[in-house]
Amino acid sequence: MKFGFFLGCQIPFLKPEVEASIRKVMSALGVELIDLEGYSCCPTWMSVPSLDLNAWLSISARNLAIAENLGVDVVTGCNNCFSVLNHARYLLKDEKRKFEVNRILSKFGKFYRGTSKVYHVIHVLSDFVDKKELKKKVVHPLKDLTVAIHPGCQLLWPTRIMDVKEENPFYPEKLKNLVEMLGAKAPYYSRLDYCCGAGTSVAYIDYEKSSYFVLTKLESMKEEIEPDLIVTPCSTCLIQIEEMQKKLKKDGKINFEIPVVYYTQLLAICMGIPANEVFREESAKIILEVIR
Amino acid sequence: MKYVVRVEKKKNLVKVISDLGGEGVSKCIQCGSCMSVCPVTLIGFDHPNKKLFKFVQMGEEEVLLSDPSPWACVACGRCIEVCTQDVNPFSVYFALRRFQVKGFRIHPLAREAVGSIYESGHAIFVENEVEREKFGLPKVSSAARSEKDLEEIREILKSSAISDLGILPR
Repeated sequence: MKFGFFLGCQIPFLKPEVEASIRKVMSALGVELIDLEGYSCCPTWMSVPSLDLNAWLSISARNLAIAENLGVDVVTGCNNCFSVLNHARYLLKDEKRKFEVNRILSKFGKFYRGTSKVYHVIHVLSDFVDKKELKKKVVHPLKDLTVAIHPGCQLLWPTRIMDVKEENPFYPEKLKNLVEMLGAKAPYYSRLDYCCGAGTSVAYIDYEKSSYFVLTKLESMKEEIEPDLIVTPCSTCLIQIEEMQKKLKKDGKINFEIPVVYYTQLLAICMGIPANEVFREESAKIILEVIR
Repeated sequence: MKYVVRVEKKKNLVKVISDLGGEGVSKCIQCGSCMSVCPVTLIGFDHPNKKLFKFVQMGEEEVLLSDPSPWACVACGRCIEVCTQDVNPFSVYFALRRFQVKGFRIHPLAREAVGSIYESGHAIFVENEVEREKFGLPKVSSAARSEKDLEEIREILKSSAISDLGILPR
């Protein structure tokens, strides 16, 4: 199994430990990730798509054309890239738009066909990798651990633009199943599908309003399921929940702190990959303490 | 007929917003499904979703140019899922951002992000090769490391309407 690996910006530059976990887990499962030479920002919602439709679609199409030339589908670990690229693919089904984009790409000899699909890491693990094979690799299953899952909005909606979708995105199952496969409990809590408040820019437009999301989410999970760990497959949510949680604690709005991890980081540990290869030093200590 | 007040439509904004990617706006019947699931509504912005769409239909240009709600959209896509009339409220929201941009109301964060993409190919770019090596990661194979690819990104930006805004670095 081969995929073009769309890194995006946030994961390689701010969270290289997450990239390391994705690469290691995929390689252990026999999934080959091919780097996309010369790719750029997807471009993220708060940049080009907010300013100009054509420029957005051209940059997204350029990125996808790189994968098309390699004859592979794309996989990304970033919910934002996943959403931007799939929205672009959806809009480019319109022949007029596609023609306009190709007129621009032809200036430097590129061409967008629309042949490469865009998946999320979670989709590859839940729908492409053999479940028995994956289960076999879990050598250190988790015991007596309760996990609060946070899939992140852009992985769930809108289903019409995705090639792998949840049956009911308001009650998502894929991440839950993947966490339970590791031996942990992942019970439902009322704000499971709540936004983390990072989105495209709320955190910058109105800090108070943005922190309200994290506060509500944290209070809901703490009261209802008392989790040991928060697991998310979204790098934006990961950063937002981590940082906001620290600020909320400092401001005295909460009196607890729950560690947050990216799904493949947790999977890597369960597969026997040393924690310091997929976590920064400090986080590695905290995580090992929690899961032991 | 004494109670019917005829409101004069100020300007045909439906076409303007449609051309910017918000084709569905004329289909909105104000049912409010989008607002029932929208995070922007939840945290209390003044004119979420359908309210702005009504202003588009009424041609209220001033409100549309000054309201900050479109910039608070988290791009979650819930509204597209639940819309009863297939308006694609999300696309209209982004068309409204582009409408404000045309009036030179560009959110500073967006301006910064586009500038960064022009300079490095990435909205977020940090030199972290040493850190990456520690995790055994290869060099990022993006446009940031290839002048030819970066030039292609710049060409796309320069040949688009963004070049008229005077925000691209020289």
